[in-house]
Amino acid sequence: MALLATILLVWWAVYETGWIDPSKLPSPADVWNAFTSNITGSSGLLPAARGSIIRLAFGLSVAVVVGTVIGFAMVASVVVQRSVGTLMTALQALPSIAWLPLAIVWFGFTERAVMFVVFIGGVPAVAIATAISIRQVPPTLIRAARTMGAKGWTLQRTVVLQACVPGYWTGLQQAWAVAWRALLAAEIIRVGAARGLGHLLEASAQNTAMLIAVMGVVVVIGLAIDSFFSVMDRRIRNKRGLLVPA
Amino acid sequence: MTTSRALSIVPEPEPRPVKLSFRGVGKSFTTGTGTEVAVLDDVTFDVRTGEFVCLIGPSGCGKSTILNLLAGLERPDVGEVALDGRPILEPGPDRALLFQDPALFPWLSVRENVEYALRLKGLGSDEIRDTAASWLAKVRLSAFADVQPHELSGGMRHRAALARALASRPEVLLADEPFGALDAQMREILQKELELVWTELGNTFVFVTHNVREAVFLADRVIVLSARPGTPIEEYRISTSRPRSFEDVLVAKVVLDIHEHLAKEVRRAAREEGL
Repeated sequence: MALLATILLVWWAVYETGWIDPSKLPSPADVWNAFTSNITGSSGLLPAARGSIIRLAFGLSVAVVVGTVIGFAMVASVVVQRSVGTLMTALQALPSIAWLPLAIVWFGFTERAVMFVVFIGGVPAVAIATAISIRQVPPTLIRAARTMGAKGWTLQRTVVLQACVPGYWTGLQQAWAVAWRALLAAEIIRVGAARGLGHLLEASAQNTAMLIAVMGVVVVIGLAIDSFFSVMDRRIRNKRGLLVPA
Repeated sequence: MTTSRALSIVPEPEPRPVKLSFRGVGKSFTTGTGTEVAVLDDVTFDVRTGEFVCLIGPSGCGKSTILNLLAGLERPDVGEVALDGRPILEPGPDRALLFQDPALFPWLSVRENVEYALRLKGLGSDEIRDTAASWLAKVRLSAFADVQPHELSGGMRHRAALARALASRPEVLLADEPFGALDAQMREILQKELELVWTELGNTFVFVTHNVREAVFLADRVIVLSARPGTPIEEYRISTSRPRSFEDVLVAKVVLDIHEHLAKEVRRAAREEGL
């Protein structure tokens, strides 16, 4: 909070000195005005934020489902691990934005192209986290459960799927961040029909006050989603005694 | 096995039926570098119903492998491991295994950990709750039923693991150095508790340890294993009445005897390895 106040103060002071052209650096008040007067309406922040969040939710959901299935397959089969697993590692080395040109060639400037980029960004993170978290389930816990008579699906459900939760959640935390960045990048170059925050950024290129207001909204949404994941992560780890006391 | 010495003049009780049996069991493992290592060689012994048997031997002699075979987590390469005369093919709720690590499930509360084994048995929810509560009371953890395992002390975790292992009323309790990681005081306290529980339940008990005092304190019979590949080389029947004391002359004598025997075995193994 103090940091935020300092930034605002410095920003306002710099603006007041008039060193920088107001069209390049608007005042905090201008940005606030741009924000408050552009909340609703067809090109407003609210519909754009809703559009981006829906895209993220949809693309990420598909990525989580597919990534989880791939992750399980990687653990279950050496062949899948050597082939698809290697592919996942390779994909992780490639920023998902790099898929954008190809996605546009394949799908045009459509929703499907946006979804594809979000999806391809999220899948490797989820798949790798799933596989690693399952492999790291302590063998003693599995042995203990087996000696108590757990086997097959019961063993998987009551032990493996419980023990892998912390690692898996970390994977989701990474996946959403990757997917969110990919989504905004795709929107900025006007991929996709419906309006999103990225579109709004691009459309506001001539209006720096609005530009900064949109950036602020992107940051706030990002912080909100991240704090949701962090709160859940703390809960998961705290319950298992994995939290290092601060 | 060479001799079986009776260490007291108390007449041996009527032999009870054989619960667990090893018949000419051999087992080897392939190491990471591809060499085959024989862990057990021609192991034959019986454990009678309600008997408390301790397995003791130099490290790496396959003590844990014997327990894993009894638990059904592993299968013998040759020979047969049987429970009530039937070969053991897989783990089952009739046998519980305690590890050096209490291996409590960190995502479940202490109570839920104890209930876990009962749920697997498919008991009704009332019975599960009551049984778990009574076992938590037996190991003096009632006040900690709803905390997570990581909030317990080391000794308490072991007691919770004991409650979880015994709650489903296994006929056989197998323990793999369950108190190995604890300090001497805690170890003695838990040994006494374990003995009380065993006296009450009358389970068949196979306990692996490398602590000779622990073995002599707890067991009806101590089986000494050779260095790798492990095979029984000596057997001590301990008929001193319970609860035992380490000051007891007979107990002290057996402890010394076993120590001597083990030391000889370790030296022999070292000579063979050319050390």
